[in-house]
Formats: sequence, C-alpha cells, structure tokens
Amino acid sequence: MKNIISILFITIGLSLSAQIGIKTESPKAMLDVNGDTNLRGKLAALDVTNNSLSEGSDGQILVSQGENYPPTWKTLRIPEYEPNKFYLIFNNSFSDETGISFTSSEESTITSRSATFTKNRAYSNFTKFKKIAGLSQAVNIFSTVSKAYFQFETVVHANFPAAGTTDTSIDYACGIFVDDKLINMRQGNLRASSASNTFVIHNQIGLVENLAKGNHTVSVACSRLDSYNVADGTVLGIGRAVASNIDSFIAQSSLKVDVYEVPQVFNTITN
Amino acid sequence: MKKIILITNLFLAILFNAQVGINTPTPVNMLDINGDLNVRKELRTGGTSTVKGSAGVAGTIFHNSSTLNVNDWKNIKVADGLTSMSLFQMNTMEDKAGVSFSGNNGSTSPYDEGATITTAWSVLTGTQATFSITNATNKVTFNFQTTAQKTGNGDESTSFACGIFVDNKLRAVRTDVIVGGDGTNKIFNLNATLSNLTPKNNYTVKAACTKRNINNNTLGIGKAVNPEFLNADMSQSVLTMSVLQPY
Repeated sequence: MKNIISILFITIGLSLSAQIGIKTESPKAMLDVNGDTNLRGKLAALDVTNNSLSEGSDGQILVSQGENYPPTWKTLRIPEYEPNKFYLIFNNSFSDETGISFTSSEESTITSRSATFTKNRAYSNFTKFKKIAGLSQAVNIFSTVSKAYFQFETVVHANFPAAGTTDTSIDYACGIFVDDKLINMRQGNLRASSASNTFVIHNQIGLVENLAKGNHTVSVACSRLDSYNVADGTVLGIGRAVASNIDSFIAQSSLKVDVYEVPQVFNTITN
Repeated sequence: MKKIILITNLFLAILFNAQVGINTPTPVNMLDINGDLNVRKELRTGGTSTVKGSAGVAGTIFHNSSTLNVNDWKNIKVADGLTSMSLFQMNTMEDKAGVSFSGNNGSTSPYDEGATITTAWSVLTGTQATFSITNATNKVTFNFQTTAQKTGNGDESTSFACGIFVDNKLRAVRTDVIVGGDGTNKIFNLNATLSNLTPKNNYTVKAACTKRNINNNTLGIGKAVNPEFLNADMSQSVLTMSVLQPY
C-alpha cells in the first residue's frame, strides 16, 4: 500500500483543494471516481445564467452544455404519445419548374372519365397521362394506422388567342398517385378570354389512409382530356409556361406531403 | 507535481458526517465539487444503506421529479419514423389591411426568381415574419391565400401578381386575372416549396402584390374596394409557413 491517506472527519467540514481520485492515483477531473457513484439525494448543477445551484424543476432532465460548462436542467419538449391519436410523423415538400405540356395530338383517348378515374386504379390505365418528374418522390410509412395528406398546386396555361364569339376551352385532369395507383383526381377547364394565353391556378388536396408500412412513391400525373373550338397548334402546359406572358418560375408546381400516424413502434434515444 | 490524495476503502470504510467540499472551503451540499466530476462507471440514484441505487436502463435519461427525494431515470419514447424531415418551425400570419392599386397599368412581364423587391410591389404588412435555417438540407413551404377584388370600370378585367419574398428576394409568384362586373372578387392561392436555403438566422419573409393590366379599375388585394360585396374580414390574407429539416 502506497501513499494512502485515510480521512476521518467527524464534526468539522472537509475541504480539499487538489484533484481527488477515488480508487485511482491519477485523477483526470476535480473528482474522479473509478467505480460507480451512488446518489441518495438530488444532484444540483450550477446554473451559469444566474450563478446559482439548481436541482431542476419538476420533470426536467440534465442536458450537457459541452466542454467547460456544467450540465443544465432543461424541460424536454416532446409529446407524450397517447394511444389512438394521430401524430405528424413524415413530412416533406417538393417543387418542379419543368412541368409537362400537351399538343392537340397528345390528347387523352379515354372515353369514359367516370369509369376510368376511380380510386386505386392502376396508372397503366391512364393513357396519355404524363408525370411531373420533380414530384415523383419517396414517402415512408411507419405504422399500419396512417393518413397521408397531399397538397398539390400548379398553373395550367394554354397559348390560346383572344376568344372569339364561340367558347374556346380545354378540359384537363390531374391525379395524385401512390405506387402508381390513383389516390385523388381533379379535373378542370381552361377557357380563352378577351386576353390571349390564359392560365388558371390549379389546387388539389388528396388523402389516403392506412398504406402498408414501408417505402412508397407518390407522383402527380396530368392529361389533356378534351378540346372545344381549339385551333391546331394549341399547346396546354401544366406547371409549364407555353407562352411568354408567364414563365416557368411563375408556373412552377408544389407538392406537400404530410403523414399522420398512430405510432406503434417506439425507439429510445439513440444519439 | 500534482498532489494526489487517494482514498481507498480496501481496509477502511470512511465515514463523513459533515459536508465535504472539494476545491471549496464552504460546501453547501453534502458533497460540493467546485470543478468537474469524472464518472467512470454507473451513476446510481435512489440507493440506501440496504439497497443499491439504480443505474437506469440503457436509453433512459437523468431526470428530476418534485415528488421524489432523489433523481430517477426516465424513459423517453420516440415514435418510429421521426427520422426524416422534421417540422422545425411553423408560423401563420394574417393581414386585414390589404393593399390597393389604381391609375396606370403595371408591367405585364413575367418575374425573375431572386429579383429584389421594388416599389412596384406593395407589401401585405401583416404577413411579415422571420425564420431560421440551421441545417444545409431543408425545405421551406409557403401557403398563401387572399381575396382580390376589382371595382370602378364595369366589366373590364384586372390582372395582378402576388409573390413571396425571402430577404426581399422573390422566391415564388403567381399571376391571376379577375374577370366580371364591378365588385367581382376571387380567391387567390399560392403554394410553394423552397429547397436547401443557406443556413442563417432571421430570414425575413413577406407576401407582396403588384398590379399588371388593371384597365382603369381599382384593384384591392386582401382589401375590400367595393364594400357592397366584400368586407375586411372576408378579404383578409393568410400566409402560413413551415421549415422542415432532418435532425
């Protein structure tokens, strides 16, 4: 046994001003305990903001403040998950400034819209639909109880001349697909007016419940459905400018994806 | 040479009944360390003379409860999937003052991404806010809605544009036209997504609008210019934004 000092102080305070090692001869901190430490009371940490010792308020946790600073008591602001309630788990948002366009010959040949545009119908049945490339994106589902919410906006544009006495217009439709199955379809009509090259803002909200757990792909596809009193050479743009009165920056598309889930699997803190 | 005091209990249990201060002559708790503490093994809580304290289950965190006399270890549940893009900031602003335009027509040219705001644009002052980006991978989404109304020149149409400015640079814009008789109004929507803004504190955001071809009408945006059909509550503007980042 070398250099062992036993200290027995019964009635007076003990003050040590060197580094203390417990079961070590080379302490690396003011107190270095080479073993476990038992707390029978509460740990107080110095709050550097007001130079006082704090045991933390109810429910607070000890958070590292990094090198040279004492850890600090903080309130952890994350939800306590309750059963059967939905929480926002996945969210992302995408944009596209390229868009798609359709000439007269690229018009859809679908004869019955009501029979074709049905939920869960496969994309392969949507002849002459085109996908907006930048909006085909991955969505991940982590629970069997989920609601995926999609919000899509774009600008629909045509190089119409100024309208004559007969109505000139084009029917179009946009669908939101998940794994190439239809989730939501909206159709609209773009009409020529007294000004040339008219356009409309197209808004669409869709949702799908209880997708299988795992990775999915969402995409948006649109088509030119029908034309009324429209000259050959008239081009319909969706998320794309087809005349110079607007540009691709104005006509850009946006797709916002939120997935609400009833969490079923929980993880502990890993990092 | 560092002065080392080695305390061992190999053959002697040490009993302190007084407060112990390390590097302080005036300890205020039973053990007061005026310096850092090196923990080489478990930190145990709630031990007694007969019961060994708890070192916590892996993943639990050191916690204070006002109903206990000692610290305890708390289990934190993190729902599976909270690993992708997470909502870091959300805000929604409304504007009931609106803006109005009259007089000559404005420019009918398209607008350039990143263009600096000019006096041709009128800011919807209530929509102004700030946000911060802390991760180089990020998405910022904007959801703007207002009501536009025309009055003053019969059936002549009126066109306009509204955009979102971030640090006074145009980041999203849509144009629209009001067609119809005096007092005609329509809802205007602008949803946009920005990707990977440079990390920075206090980006400013605002919605602003400009006139295009107004055909001698008076144009109100977020503002009732013909009160026969519209009031300030009905015409108000709302801008909602969110910042998404990975952890």
